[in-house]
Amino acid sequence: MNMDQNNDLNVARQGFEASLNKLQSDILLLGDLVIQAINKSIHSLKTRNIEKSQEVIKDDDKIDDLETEIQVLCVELIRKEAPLASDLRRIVSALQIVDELERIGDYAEGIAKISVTMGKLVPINELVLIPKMAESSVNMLSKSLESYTLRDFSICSSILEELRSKDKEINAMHKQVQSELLNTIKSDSSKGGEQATYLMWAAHNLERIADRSKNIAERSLFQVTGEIS
Amino acid sequence: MGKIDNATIASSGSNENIIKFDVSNNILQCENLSVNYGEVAAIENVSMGIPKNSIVSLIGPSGCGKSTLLRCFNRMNDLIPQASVKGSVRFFQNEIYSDNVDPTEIRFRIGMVFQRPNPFPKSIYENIAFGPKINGLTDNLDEVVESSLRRAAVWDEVKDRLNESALSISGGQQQRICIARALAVNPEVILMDEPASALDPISTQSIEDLIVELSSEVTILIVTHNMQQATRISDYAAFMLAGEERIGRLIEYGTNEQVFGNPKDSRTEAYVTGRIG
Ligand SMILES: Nc1ncnc2c1ncn2[C@@H]1O[C@H](COP(=O)(O)OP(=O)(O)OP(=O)(O)O)[C@@H](O)[C@H]1O
Ligand SMILES: [Mg+2]
Repeated sequence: MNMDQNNDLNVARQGFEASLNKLQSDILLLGDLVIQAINKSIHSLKTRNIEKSQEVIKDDDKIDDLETEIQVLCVELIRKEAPLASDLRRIVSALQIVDELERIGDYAEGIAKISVTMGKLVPINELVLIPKMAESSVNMLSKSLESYTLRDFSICSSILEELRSKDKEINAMHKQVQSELLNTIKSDSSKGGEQATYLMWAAHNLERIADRSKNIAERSLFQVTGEIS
Repeated sequence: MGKIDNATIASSGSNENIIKFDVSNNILQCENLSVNYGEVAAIENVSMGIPKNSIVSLIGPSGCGKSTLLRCFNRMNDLIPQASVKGSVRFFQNEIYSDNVDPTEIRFRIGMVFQRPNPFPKSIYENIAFGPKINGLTDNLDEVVESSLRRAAVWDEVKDRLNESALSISGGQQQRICIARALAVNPEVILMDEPASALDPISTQSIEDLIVELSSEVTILIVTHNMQQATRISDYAAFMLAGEERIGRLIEYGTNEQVFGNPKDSRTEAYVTGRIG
């Protein structure tokens, strides 16, 4: 292997490396938009701020656009670089993770739409468990994105372990929310029942967000091990 | 030249990044193989098994000794005066560097295809009939020629011009003629040294298809600089690298999935991802 050849290679490699770094920062940017959307959708649901809910719906377009942009970058890198080994795993996991993030964005948008549909309905009780579920889900999502950037076997596998048990906790919270809301539906045939039905869907979306955050942690571990779980 | 020096066969160091096969299933097996050109060492202590009916690719930067290693497997290095080979190569458990082994016979049973198609300046027919004739297999020569050309997937293209010069056809066709020539003596192994590097993408594709097809009956060891080609066709891949002292060594040998998907050695990773060349 001669030096000149290696220098040429390094130049080619530098460009590729820069694109891989851009890919990662774009994904973190997308993750940030999605987290903002979840927080805002829950806060506006709780405070009955229809205007803010509508903003979440509108902002989902930004998430979709960034998703497309990242996918285009991935396809271009596959076409130009024909990546192998860790490069291939990075791009494959990036494609999977943007897909998860976009879907999570849709769940946040869904919560905002529920809030808009609820309109003037005022919560019978202050929402407690749903915002708690949201907080845990967002926490899971940030951890999963951290795992994605770290690319270290022991850290990524312990984060995945943690998120798997957090996911179970959220499932349990979801069950509790469901049964409380079911009781309201049974006992309150008027506005309270209608409102509880809407909130059921919001809780369902949060449960899905937690599940997909766990998926992101799985994809992040794949990035390191190459094993599909 | 071409002799093994038993005294120098060291106990093979165990490298866990080199896949070990059940020896009884290996068609070829080398142990502590080292080659010098004059005083200069080219490869050192290569030990690897080649399972029967597999496609194994040899990869690594230019000058790391891939061609040198490949030539050891059919004693082609005997033809290079300054080359000396130490270590052992067994073909079906038999040492090919033993005194009683005829290197010409070995080269028929372990055929070779080179980077540039090298048909003889004779007719297509004569190119294919050459090996069988030398081996006294002159019965049904027409059939042997046809079936070899068919196996090399070039029959339809040349059947009407068998008496034309093999040099009059395209490079991709010439390369398949060379493969047919190797196949005509029913080899058990074919060694290929960058067989598609001088060909256009379509000819390359047909050579790749042919290699995969042949592997049901023939074992194939192929040197390639094209990582995508290696990962498309091979069952196993071996990565060689020459360090500072410029002596080629086997660094990693594993399944296609391992070497191109998740290499164990960081140097393999660096090579397949284009960080070193
Ligand atoms: N006939 C020869 N005489 C002297 N040195 C040789 C000879 N053939 C090869 N070498 C040397 O042996 C080393 C290994 O060469 P070899 O051709 O096996 O490498 P390679 O991996 O096949 O390279 P490439 O990818 O460029 O074909 C190199 O340093 C080369 O210069
Ligand atoms: Mg070579």
